[in-house]
Amino acid sequence: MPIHQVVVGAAVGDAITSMALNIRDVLCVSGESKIFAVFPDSSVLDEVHPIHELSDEDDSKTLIYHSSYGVRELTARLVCWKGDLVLQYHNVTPDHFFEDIDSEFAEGLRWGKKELEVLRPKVVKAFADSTFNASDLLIRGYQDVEVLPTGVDSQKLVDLAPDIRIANYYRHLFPNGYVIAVSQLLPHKRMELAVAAVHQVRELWGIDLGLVIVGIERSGTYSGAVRAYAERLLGGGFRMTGRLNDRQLSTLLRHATMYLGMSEHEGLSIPLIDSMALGVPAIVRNVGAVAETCGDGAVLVEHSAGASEIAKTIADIARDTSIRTALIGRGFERAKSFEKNLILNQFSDALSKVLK
Amino acid sequence: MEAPQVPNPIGADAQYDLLFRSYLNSGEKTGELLSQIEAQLTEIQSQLTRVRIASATTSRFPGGSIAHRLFRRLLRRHLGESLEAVSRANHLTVESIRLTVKLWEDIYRHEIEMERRTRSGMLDRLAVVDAMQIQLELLEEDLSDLRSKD
Repeated sequence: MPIHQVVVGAAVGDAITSMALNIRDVLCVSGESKIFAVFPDSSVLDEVHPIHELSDEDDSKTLIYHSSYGVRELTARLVCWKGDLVLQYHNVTPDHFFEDIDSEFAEGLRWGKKELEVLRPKVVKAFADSTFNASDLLIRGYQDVEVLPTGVDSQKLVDLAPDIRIANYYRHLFPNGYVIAVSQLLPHKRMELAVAAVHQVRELWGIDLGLVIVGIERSGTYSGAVRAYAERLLGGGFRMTGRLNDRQLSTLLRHATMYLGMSEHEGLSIPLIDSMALGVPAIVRNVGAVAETCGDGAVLVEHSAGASEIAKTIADIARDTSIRTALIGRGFERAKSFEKNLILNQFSDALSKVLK
Repeated sequence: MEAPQVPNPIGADAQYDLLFRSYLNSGEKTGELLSQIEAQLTEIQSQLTRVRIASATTSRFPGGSIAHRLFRRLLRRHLGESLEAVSRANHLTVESIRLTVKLWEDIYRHEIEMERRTRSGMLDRLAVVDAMQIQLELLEEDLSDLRSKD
């Protein structure tokens, strides 16, 4: 039976796109399966089709909709869809984080939440990436939400050969190691906390670690401020790489001393899973789905923790080999629970039950 | 190894926060500053207009009105020319501020691009060094093979 998928945005390296591609590989086994996107990046046009190519003739087929942002035209199309609609909910970021920097985007986020209610009568099965995300659906009247991070692949970066050029460059740049933070550069990702914490690690604790910030710069105002702030506090002790491909990211993560996750809001943190899978000790703030994602495979700091507390945690882990070794081991174990095929099999089983 | 206990510096987190906010706000201030300057220049212009209107007076002295009319005409022409000059200066000032801001932005973008190119150039050079290192190792192996054959 042909089952298609719809995502809002699609790009190389984008977490939801990667998840949809993994799901497609499974769906292809039982028939034709395509991915359609409202905003496809040119880098994925050989894999992802623009939404206008989703023809009306297809509308008796099953559609898996990856919800993360609201687009009214798409909602209207989904409401009129004659075939079965399956929801895979990846979390919609609360709009208040964007109100001051991009009110139009904030409006899309507000609609994304509203859309969940509009689509509810149409949805035959709902999946959520995490229990945290599932609670978003439950309070909107959904029942029988299955928690399944479908399409997540904890081994995605593990098998990639490192990029020697990048490894050498960063080894030369930060001979005593570096802390890495991976995320889109947006205010709610709180990269400034990572900058301040590393500053204190260097100045107060006397550990000469660098900071590498990886991620696409989505807000010029915010990323400009982070860059200027880091230049002031860390001088040459930091780098902002922008978006990287999987191989580059794998290389940088693999060689990092530690991973830092400072976000204010996480529906499911893929870079955290990648870090654990690659044996990088992780320190993360306890927000959203972070605790359930990392289990005991990472060090959780309280949501209220400031730069000083985070710096102390970094220093403790950097100085104590036994803590680091234990963390790496627990991280490996935890990452195994995000094994792609295991999750995809569960997804197929659940799907076949409702689509009989 | 036991980590030395270093107390958290009191107030450091608040200081970090303040410093970051100053960087975050400075990016948003440019537009605000421009509109403030424009508003002030408009205010100056309207005050000058009020001065010109106020200069339209009549004389109470006999025979004074011709001299006053002449004086008023001269004053009006003078003020009119001054007003135009101020208006042109206003426009030029606003334009030059706009251009300066644009120039800053271009320089900043250029610096970022240069940094990116430098980084990519360095990576390329490191790759060349890597390749040369491998070639060197291969040559050394060949050399030792040749020596062993001799």
